[in-house]
Amino acid sequence: MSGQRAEFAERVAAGLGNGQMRISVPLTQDRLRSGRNRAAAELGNVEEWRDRASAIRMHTLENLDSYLEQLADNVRKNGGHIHFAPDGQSALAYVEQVIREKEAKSVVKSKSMVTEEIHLNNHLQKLGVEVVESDLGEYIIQLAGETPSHLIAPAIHKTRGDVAALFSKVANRHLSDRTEELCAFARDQLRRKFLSADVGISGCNFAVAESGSIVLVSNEGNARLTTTLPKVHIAIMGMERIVPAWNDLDVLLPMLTRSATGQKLSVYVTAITGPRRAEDADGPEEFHLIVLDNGRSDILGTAYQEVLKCIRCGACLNVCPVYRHIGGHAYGGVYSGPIGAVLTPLLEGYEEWKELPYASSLCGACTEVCPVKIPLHDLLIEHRKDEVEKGYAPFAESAAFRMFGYVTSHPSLYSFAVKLAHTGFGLFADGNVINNGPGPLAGWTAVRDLPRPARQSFRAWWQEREEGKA
Amino acid sequence: MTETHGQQAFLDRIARKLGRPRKSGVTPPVWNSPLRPDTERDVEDLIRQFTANLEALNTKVVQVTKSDFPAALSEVIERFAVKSAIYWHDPELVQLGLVQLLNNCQVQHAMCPHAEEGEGFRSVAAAADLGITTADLGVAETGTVVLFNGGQRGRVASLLPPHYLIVLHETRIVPSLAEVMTQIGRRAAEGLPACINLITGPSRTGDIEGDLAFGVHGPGQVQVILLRENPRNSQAASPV
Amino acid sequence: MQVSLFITCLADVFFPEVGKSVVAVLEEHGVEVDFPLAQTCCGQPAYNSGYHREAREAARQMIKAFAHSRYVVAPSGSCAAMIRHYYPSLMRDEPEWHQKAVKLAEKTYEFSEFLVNVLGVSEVRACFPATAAYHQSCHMSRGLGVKDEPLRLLGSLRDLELRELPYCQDCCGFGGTFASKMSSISEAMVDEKIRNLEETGATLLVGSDMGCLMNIAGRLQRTGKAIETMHVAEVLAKGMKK
Repeated sequence: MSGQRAEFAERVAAGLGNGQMRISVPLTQDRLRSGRNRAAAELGNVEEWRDRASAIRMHTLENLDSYLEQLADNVRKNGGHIHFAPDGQSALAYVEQVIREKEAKSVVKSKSMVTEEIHLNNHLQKLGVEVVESDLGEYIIQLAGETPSHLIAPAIHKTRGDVAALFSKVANRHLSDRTEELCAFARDQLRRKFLSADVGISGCNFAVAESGSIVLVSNEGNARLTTTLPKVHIAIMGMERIVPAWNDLDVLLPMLTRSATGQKLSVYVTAITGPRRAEDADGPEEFHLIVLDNGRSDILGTAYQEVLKCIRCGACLNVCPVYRHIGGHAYGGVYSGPIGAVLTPLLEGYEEWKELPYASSLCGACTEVCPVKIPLHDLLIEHRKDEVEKGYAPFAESAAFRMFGYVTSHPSLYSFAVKLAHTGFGLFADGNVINNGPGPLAGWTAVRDLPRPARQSFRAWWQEREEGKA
Repeated sequence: MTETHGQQAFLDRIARKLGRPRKSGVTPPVWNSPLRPDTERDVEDLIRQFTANLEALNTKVVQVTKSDFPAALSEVIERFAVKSAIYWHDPELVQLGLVQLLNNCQVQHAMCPHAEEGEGFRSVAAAADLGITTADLGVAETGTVVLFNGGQRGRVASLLPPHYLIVLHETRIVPSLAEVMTQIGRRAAEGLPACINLITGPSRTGDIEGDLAFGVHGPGQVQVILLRENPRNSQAASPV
Repeated sequence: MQVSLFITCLADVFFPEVGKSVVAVLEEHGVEVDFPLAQTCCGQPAYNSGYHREAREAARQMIKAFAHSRYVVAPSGSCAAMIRHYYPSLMRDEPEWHQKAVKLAEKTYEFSEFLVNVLGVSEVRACFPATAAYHQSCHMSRGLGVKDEPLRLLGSLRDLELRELPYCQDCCGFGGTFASKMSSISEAMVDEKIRNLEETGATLLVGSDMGCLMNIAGRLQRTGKAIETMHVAEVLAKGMKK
């Protein structure tokens, strides 16, 4: 237990101690956040958009079985295959089966958090299949052997110098750290992979039940290459990433892109509806869609259901003051920031993730920007409540709060405690300042001074004043 | 058989977790109140907005009548130093005499093929300087063009070459994404093409220190030739 | 008009001057202030830490203490938000208490909010020569939606120069028990807040939540920085005397 605690603390310390990241993360955060604010203001009535987006997502979740069934029917009607995977194992097994049938040697991927969740790359590499991430940020991360630290800017923690070093190693020659040169190298390198890959694997921003389509959003165009060039396309989606109808995307697409980067719309929005038709000039011959549960259904019908409204825009990360300083890796899971702190313990349990709900000052900045109105900071409090009820809280803390409940519900006792405060705290005070507090105060006084309680409390002053009047 | 069995168990579990019996065939609610202000806009307003949005994204929009198309095209070819091009098989491009014009400019060219001749085309497409397509819709609100791919309207024309030219007729411009989604939704009943693209400017990335860079995967330079009916409204293509 | 003061535990124990200032300002505006002695703490420390049973005990006591008040005014956006937003939901399973919680929520106001929106005060006749910045606390601005009211009051003081605080919407790193539990993260947050504050050149930081101010002041003191902190009510009360 204490080992886990140390591990989280170590990750936080590593984040706080990463000087480069402490510069690059706030810069990116500021850029994305001001973009989001500009794009929200431009709408004029962003609160109405958020209400609608939330209502659409809520309706979808409440009727998820029906819409997934409709999706499945339509995918099959379009000549595609659909697989319902209750867990990561099932999804991996399905991908493996397709890979083996096609005798595929190489896979190109476009950015997908769900595939991170099920550790797809590892699995494919074990099968001896070459996997290449094609989103520039993901490609950088893959070369570095790391995991993404932001939902939409996975390499937020890398400098251009880091990237130049990684690319130079692949190129076997020295590359400058100019953005143009680095991008040109990546384009050339990845284009070759695209043209020779056997299978393309993508995520899914939205599936549309009424037509059996999946919609992919990207700025670079790698999602388009992934779903155009290889002969086989496999898309993997979290089971909640679905909308009933195209009209819903009129709201959700702009809410996604405006919230993510401040763009009115991303450069490419691509709707894939089944494999290429017989008369088509290009496109994959096979289309497979994997719908993944992996713990999501356990969230339905609970106090946390609204977290499944998430459309993975990353806006909550871009405003989070905690994320700003510790970065994405400190969270330790696939999903970081406020959404990660809510989601990860739900998908993987408290045992390993009990600190995450406390990694928040509950400032509510996340809740304020969430385009689908997930009450993120309230869900963090909900987690804390569940942790307390399930016995994850330290004994001393539980005892202290039991005392708190007793004292605050007995006013005379409370008044007595207030009266004692000056003298009691005085034991640790140096004059009027406490700079080395005991127990729960130690964390406070480790970084800041605590004033000594006043000689005369307000209530004592008030009583004196009232007596004076009388 | 096992595929649908897995599906049933999966969907049953969702219903159970939601605390109710399985549902099927739910009709989505109709969201009545419109989110956008209801302002009448004529075609000139739409074109202005469409153009402004694209120009903010490094994308040039020139307005020409059909008779000025050849000049506008040669300008694009010059601007992007185009030696080879691929394009959609599209009656609109045929009508504009695209093939002849490319020949005149000594540009090597290839049309998106029928499926059966597809394979060799890919390397041609990968090596081409310019892709040319029409667009089914333009969106004033965002500067987006909408492409219903399929048949000889290949996906790669707007994707593989480093430069991309869109020929859009003025009457195709709609005010907002709402009209696009309504049209796609309407077509959904009869079945959609395997690929629909909404394209808004050039391929871009901010993945290296947030530094904006163009053309990392898709075309890095995009231009729109907007075809106008009325010569009064068109502007002569200006030199680059 | 009669108003009950909810002092909040922090002001009661650590910052009685804040309470005295609230009383002075309210009385100056013709309000009769009372102080129900049965009040304790709003229960937020327990609530935010996940101890909802204990928070409920505190909430019941507060509901009882202010049962007969016409208005309840607190010199804290955070404690007012606790009552307004979380008391009703805490009591949702107990209809009788829920009703009472809603009643208390409806009559509870933060200090500036009450002055501006209920009393209709748009300026305070007072003078306070200083160069100051204002700290916009999270629970006050996001929880209660109160942002402009304190600025309007401060803006009406003669000789008080208000400098705009960059990133004013960002949390100072207080967060109740967060400041102790996650002290290294909290430290990074408060340090950034102080860097932004120093950029303004202000020598005084004014706020509406003593939790935030205690955090920022404690860090300022620890790092040897001579910037003062004060509650809005203190500035108004001192200014009225001048």
